Amino acid sequence: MQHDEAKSILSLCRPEHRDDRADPLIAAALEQLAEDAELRAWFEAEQIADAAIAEELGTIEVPADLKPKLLAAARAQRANTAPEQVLVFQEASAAQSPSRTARLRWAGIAAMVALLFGLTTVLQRNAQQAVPLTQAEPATAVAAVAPDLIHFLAGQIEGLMRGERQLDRHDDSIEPLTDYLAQQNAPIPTCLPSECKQLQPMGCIQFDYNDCKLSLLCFKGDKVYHLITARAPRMDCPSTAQPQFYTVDEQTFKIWTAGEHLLILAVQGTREDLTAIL
Amino acid sequence: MSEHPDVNFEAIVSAYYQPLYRFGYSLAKNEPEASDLTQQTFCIYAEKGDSIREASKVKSWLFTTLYREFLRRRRKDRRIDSYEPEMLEAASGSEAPQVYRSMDGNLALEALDAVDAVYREPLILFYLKDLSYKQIAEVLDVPIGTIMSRLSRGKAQLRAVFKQKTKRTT
Repeated sequence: MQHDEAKSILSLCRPEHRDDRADPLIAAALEQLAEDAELRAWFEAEQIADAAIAEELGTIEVPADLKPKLLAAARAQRANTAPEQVLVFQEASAAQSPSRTARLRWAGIAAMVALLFGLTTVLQRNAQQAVPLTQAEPATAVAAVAPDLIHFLAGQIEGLMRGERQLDRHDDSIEPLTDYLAQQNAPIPTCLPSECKQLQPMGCIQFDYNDCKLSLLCFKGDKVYHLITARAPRMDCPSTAQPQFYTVDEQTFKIWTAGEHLLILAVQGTREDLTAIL
Repeated sequence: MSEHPDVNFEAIVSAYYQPLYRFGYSLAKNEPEASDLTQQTFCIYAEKGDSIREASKVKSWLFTTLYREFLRRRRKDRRIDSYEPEMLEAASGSEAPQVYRSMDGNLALEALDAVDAVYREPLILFYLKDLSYKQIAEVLDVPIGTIMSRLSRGKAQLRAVFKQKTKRTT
């Protein structure tokens, strides 16, 4: 392990933090301290500085009445969202009667509930098998299975919207932006998707995702749209010419492949906002 | 997750409410919102926590939920539907006035506030010491390599700011 690499890894090791020291990567870097006096001196200084900041942050006082409030609120929440089965059980218990008629009535209700539940499950399963993540399915329905890449992009776009990151280049025409991205060896779309042709370019930025370069072109219409391009074979996303939609953190993503590229169009809004620009 | 959900739930609250509150406070910088974020997180857990199959994932899940709830609120507050580069630049310096409780982690929070925004959240989670760097990456939804470089650069910035502030106060 190189000196600088060891430094970078050791900076992840917090003072007196057993779990950090047990991490194999950090443990390997710690072993290097015995052989490298300069690294050891740097690490000791780093630990002192880290301890001071952590100690200061640890002084944030937690309100004394917070825990009972949390427990009360969460229990109320639980009570309000108890599954229907529990309610059925409670009603059944309250209505306990030696009467055979009453027992038969509850048995009938239970059978009906079971039948309806079974039928709904079968119908849902069939529906999911028939249209897996295609345009025919509402975007929100597939949010839970959005690939990591989409979650990553949602975070990056959120960072741009919040002003935590700046675009690499600003320009209102597309050529200077694609020229810049090409110079950076970032992927650029072979031709612009029809959705973007009517939009006003604003700027671009490139990202690294799992050691792969991604480019993002920013466009302005009624909303701000982002076109992300990646080299398809290097991504862990489903590769398909048929567009798929995902919704993550109130952002909607349309993802499809075009030649060797994976293209993703994103907007802070709904799927309708994406189709509206067509 | 347990034979008696209420006992299990109380144990989860006891174990994590303090670190979650501190994380919420570091993000929101005021007590009412930090309390509210913590409460909201446990309410979501009360509703959906049963779907977490591995007990070891509960902590990360709670931190992720609080962080997403914080982002959701910020987004709702700002609702930037369209932005120009100038607006982006302005937005980075347009944080709401902070209301710190004077005695609580003030110096560290002030120093964290002076650090570039992109480094702030990884640094908060790092110095709160509740999550490993892998879990921090998971909570913030960024690759581990990115967390490592953000922590490394962020720590350098933070130390410089913290040193200045410590000097000023002593």
